[in-house]
Amino acid sequence: MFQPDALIEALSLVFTVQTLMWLVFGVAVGVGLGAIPGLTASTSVALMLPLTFALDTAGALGLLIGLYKGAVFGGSISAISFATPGAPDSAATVYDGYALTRQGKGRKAILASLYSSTTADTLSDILVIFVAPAMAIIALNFGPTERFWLMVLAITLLGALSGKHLAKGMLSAAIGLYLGTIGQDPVGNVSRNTFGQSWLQDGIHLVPLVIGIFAMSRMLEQGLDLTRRSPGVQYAAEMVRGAFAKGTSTLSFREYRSILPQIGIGFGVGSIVGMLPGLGATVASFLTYGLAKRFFPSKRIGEGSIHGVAAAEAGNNATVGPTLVPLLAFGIPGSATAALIGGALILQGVTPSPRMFELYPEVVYSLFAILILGNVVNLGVGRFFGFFYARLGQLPPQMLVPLIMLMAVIGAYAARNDPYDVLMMLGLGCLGFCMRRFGVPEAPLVITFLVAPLMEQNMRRALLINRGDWADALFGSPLAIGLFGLAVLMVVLSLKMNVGDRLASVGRESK
Amino acid sequence: MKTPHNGIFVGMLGAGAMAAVMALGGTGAQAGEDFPTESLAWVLPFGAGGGSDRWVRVMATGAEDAFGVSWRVENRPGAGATAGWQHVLEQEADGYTVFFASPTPVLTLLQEADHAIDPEDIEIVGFVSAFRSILVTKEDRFPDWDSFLEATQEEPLVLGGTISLLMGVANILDQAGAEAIYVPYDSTGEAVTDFLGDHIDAAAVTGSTAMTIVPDEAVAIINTSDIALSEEALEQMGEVPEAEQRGFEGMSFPRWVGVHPDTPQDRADRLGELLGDLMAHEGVTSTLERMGEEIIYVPRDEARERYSDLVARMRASLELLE
Repeated sequence: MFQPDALIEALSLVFTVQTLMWLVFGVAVGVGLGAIPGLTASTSVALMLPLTFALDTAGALGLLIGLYKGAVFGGSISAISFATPGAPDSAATVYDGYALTRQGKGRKAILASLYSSTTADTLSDILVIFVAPAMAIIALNFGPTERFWLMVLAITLLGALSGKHLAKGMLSAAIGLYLGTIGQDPVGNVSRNTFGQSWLQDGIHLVPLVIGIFAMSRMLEQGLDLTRRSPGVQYAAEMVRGAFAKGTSTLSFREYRSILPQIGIGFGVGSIVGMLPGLGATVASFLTYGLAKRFFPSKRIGEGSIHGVAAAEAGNNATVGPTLVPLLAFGIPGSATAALIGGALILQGVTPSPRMFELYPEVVYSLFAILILGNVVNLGVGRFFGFFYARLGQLPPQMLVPLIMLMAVIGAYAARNDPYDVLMMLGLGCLGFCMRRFGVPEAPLVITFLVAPLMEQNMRRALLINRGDWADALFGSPLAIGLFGLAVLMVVLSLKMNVGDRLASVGRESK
Repeated sequence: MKTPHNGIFVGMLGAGAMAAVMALGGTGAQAGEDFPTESLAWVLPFGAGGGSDRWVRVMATGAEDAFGVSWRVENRPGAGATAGWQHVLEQEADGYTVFFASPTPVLTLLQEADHAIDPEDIEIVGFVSAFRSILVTKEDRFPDWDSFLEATQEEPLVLGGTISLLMGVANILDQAGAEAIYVPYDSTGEAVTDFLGDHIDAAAVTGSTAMTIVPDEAVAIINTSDIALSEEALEQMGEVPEAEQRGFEGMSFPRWVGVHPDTPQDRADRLGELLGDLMAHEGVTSTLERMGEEIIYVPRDEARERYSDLVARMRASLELLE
């Protein structure tokens, strides 16, 4: 029930110099840390958690929510500027973002990312504020069976992400599927495909995979191109001066309006995926990107389009608010970051529980106010960082390629302090390089790598729950049947659109 | 079988932990008192940001006072949390490399029959905390342990939770002569979401998670561990039957500290004493309390016995889950 007194108290707690200062500090540090490859949003929040020991509740929430929002957006900056996603959430942003940077439109791409992130984030925050309890009840309807079909839906987008050659897309998907099976199986915890190597027991970590496949492969390709030229120091220095002297393109209001449909998809997908435990922003980002590519073929997503950047970034940022829904409604954290924020609340003497709205309304309202304010701060801080990084992205390749390679190595190691992750990243970089040379798309690999283990996990759980009955495990609820129907519809649409594309191209050729 | 909550486990924070340290104080100055003289490496088999990482970093704030030297915290995740263990075994057995872990690496070793490390390849220094497995159900379906037991004896019910917590429940159900279908989850949060959505019949959760959903959304029907619930937990959740009261031998899952198995005994003893000092350090205990963490300190001798017992019980429970 709405409590006006608590709202007034919350606003008086939030609109203090101290709270606002911590919020700005959190966003600024979050954007900076998020842009460093290997440092994900949850790592950034974990690193700064001890600082909240000395703060009041509103200050602590300002710092942590600011960090979270800033870090999720920050990941896109290095994805766009250096093809090195700061976190796996921003991997889908590399396709169009880095292509735009290479066209000299890095700033435009970062601004598209910033505006789509903050818009989708704000919309999903508003959704959380008004319907958090209802959202939580919807989330509860998604059991293992329903989550399995949601993953199937993601797989149906593979066709859209495969580019011109479906067979090459399927090859990429098969590699991703295989890589995803390495490690302990998700139910029995039995090691498989580890070749007796204990360091493979935990499977391949997502951070070295995306850095290797997206960043290192591109740098190997560009490095090879560089060796064919005759680079000189003087040439490089001139390029540096040029990069910092020239104005770079910005994003017009008209362009912002044109990306609203992709932001809308990101808002919808991110809100649903965000409130379901165990899925995460990376799944949301790729799902949104795939849907946008499927339904907006004229936007040339994947070839350096702000629409692609907007879709991927709206998808991942829209998960930020909804991730907190299970925590607010039931006291159950739905993600690692939500668990850390819950931990910070406990430190403040506020234990997340179903009675949180009743017991601590001023804290809940403070959280809501900070969620919204955080987006405004993110907008301001992001513009500054965007300008700075866009300039760095214009550095000459002679400087950029070794710099990004170094960042990739540091990023792969920083995620878990595991030297094997660096080796894995380098190996995957070579794999990505070969795939690029042979025109095999990377996105299906990442999608199946992410989704296949979740599919297997949920299907096996559904089978256990239904005592081995496949019919009940797959179609045990109206929601499961509905999601199955949607997956079928998606496949039919994909086939029809592919046939339509082919007929159109035949028509063009005959003219 | 020991019943540690009858005076062996020192309760939550402060005075209790201090009492245990005082009891040990008499022998402290004799064994290896010139050790340590340089900083210690505390190896964690997990990445930064998790529960164990937070524990060690908070404990490190009192290291200078209690140990007289500083600590270096080293996160060495990988290989099912056994990479850090392997690292400890590769270091010199001089007591300067300390391993801080939960049951996770033990679980990995028990699941891998031909693993190079044996779960007993460690010299236990002490336990600093432990978590309990609490079984929660919906009140309208199974309001108490008896109704649950009767139902699962008729037809096995579906229980969800992390593997460790499910092992705690399996241990009790086995003693009760009942079976269940165990559905493992990566996190307690995921299991609880499926439980609240009525996709599974019951969930095995930690004490702190139980406190967030009981009594509003669920009822706690048994504490399957061998540690009594804290007063605060009982106040929040009401009466929760203990495994021992029902005639079962419960099992809890410690956060433990160990060193290389060949470490000289006087050094391992000295580390155990210093760990006791640290767990009574005012700054450390107050910070852990604020974090909602519970200190359940078990001195070295007791912990060594309990560790061997735990490994045997985990091995048996794991077979039940299969």
